[in-house]
Amino acid sequence: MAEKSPELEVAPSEEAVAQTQRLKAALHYSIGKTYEEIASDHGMKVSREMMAAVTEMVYEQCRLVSHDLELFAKHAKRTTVNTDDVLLMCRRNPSLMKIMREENEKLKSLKEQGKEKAITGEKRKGGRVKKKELPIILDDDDEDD
Amino acid sequence: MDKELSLRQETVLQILKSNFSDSKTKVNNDALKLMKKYVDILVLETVFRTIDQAKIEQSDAVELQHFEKVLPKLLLDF
Repeated sequence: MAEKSPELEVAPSEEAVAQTQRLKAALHYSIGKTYEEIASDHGMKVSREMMAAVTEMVYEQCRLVSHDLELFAKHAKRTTVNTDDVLLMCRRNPSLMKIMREENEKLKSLKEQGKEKAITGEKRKGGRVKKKELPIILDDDDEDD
Repeated sequence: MDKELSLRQETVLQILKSNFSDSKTKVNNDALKLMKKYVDILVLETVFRTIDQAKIEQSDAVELQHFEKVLPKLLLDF
């Protein structure tokens, strides 16, 4: 592979390489599917080599982006990447920023709705909203360990 | 923009995690959803731009050369 690890990193273990291959395969599969779908709508064929190149590009972009996200979070003295970091990453492209902001608002309002439902649901049962139970419903920060 | 990639969120998370230099770094659920959206947009933009380029060159197949032509601008946009 043309990929070489930067000087700062140690050479990746065999397992890490295998994991990367698996992730790329997953990426390749969904990119291929989307490509075929849209291209056939336009009555076009897609070359295999190009699909492989697109996969490499997307993976490489993800690699750069994840490095950025990690540093953004670190700069804010956090160890968890949150939506602000993702939005900051999109700062260079105003149109992209707009789409991402809208998506963020959507996610937020969905969360609000969920919160209200959870609270009214608790009230209907006649009990108070217990402090203990709230974080389980509201706090999704550490869901993805 | 209504199309979505069939990529699973878990895969996006794994891609991010495998590239973090600190293993303690976590990703918030909403941030992950936004990241998924970002990858969706990146792929869809690539698809549409290469198809447009192929059309401009009156080709009936999308080839590597079309991707090569749209790549610089694409990378500047993301």
